[in-house]
Amino acid sequence: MSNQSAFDLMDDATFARILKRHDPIAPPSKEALSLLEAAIFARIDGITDQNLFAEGVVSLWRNQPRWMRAAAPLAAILVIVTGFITGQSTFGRVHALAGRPTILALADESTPPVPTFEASWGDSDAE
Amino acid sequence: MPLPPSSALLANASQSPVARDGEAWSDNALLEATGAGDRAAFAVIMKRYLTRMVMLANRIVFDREQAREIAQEAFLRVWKNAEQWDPDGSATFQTWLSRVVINLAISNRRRAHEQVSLDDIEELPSGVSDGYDAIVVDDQKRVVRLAMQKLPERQRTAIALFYFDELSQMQAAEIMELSPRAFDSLIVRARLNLKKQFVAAGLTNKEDLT
Repeated sequence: MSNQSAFDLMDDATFARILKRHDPIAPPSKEALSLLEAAIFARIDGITDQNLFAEGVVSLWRNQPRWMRAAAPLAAILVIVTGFITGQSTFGRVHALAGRPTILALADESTPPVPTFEASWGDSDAE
Repeated sequence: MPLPPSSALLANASQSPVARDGEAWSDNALLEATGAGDRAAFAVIMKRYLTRMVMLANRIVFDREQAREIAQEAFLRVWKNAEQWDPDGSATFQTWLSRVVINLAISNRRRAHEQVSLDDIEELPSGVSDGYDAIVVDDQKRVVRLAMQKLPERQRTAIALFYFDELSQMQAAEIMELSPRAFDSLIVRARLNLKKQFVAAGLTNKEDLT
């Protein structure tokens, strides 16, 4: 039988039978499916932990009084700016330890130089 | 303020009402329970659809590992979006899930630049015209596999849904977001391409041809 004849005679039902009979894709084994299900649940648990943490943080924030939540951003800005100006806050102290003078020190030349990190470790009599 | 309902995600599955008779539940009921954090309900959904979705993905990407990863990603989306599932929506859950798997599989292939061109793929064996007896079973599967790999993605997807998943034309068209007419045209072209390759490779059965 010629190829053309075979082609012409291959109706849809025959075509479907050939496809199904020679399906190259085998279903996954039971073991493979179990592993896949376990992997999916493991990723869900990962998502769950992240959700719980995030929701805990949000819940903690929402439980604060409204006035505190409103004041928090302004307070944070004030602390940071004050620290840089006076050198008294953690940020300001770190800035000072880096050897950079604070703004007030620059404004007042009589202010003693900001102690460096090495000096602050030295003998107290040296000051 | 009480913790959000997500704490129920860790609920004991054996205490779920689904654990008793979940097989009888509809997809919508299972999704509603899944959205509330019921792992037993989600396990039933996976039992119903996981095999089918892995095989659907595999028919598009022809890579077992990738197919499993695609199925994993699809079911994670089911878990994440179950709460928003609209039971009165236009698509059934199977349609929606199949669409997700197909889109993931196609984008997975494009990302990996695994578009198989006709030049890259090995040639199909040229069998004798009365060739069923001349080709061993493994070769026959290889012929079908290679022929499917040569098809454009959309034709391959149409063949997978219509012939292998045995969905109706309407169902398959809905999944591929095509009109029935457009899907019909697509399946005709796919069938023609595959038939030519089967015949050229000698993959015909004298008993099938009348």
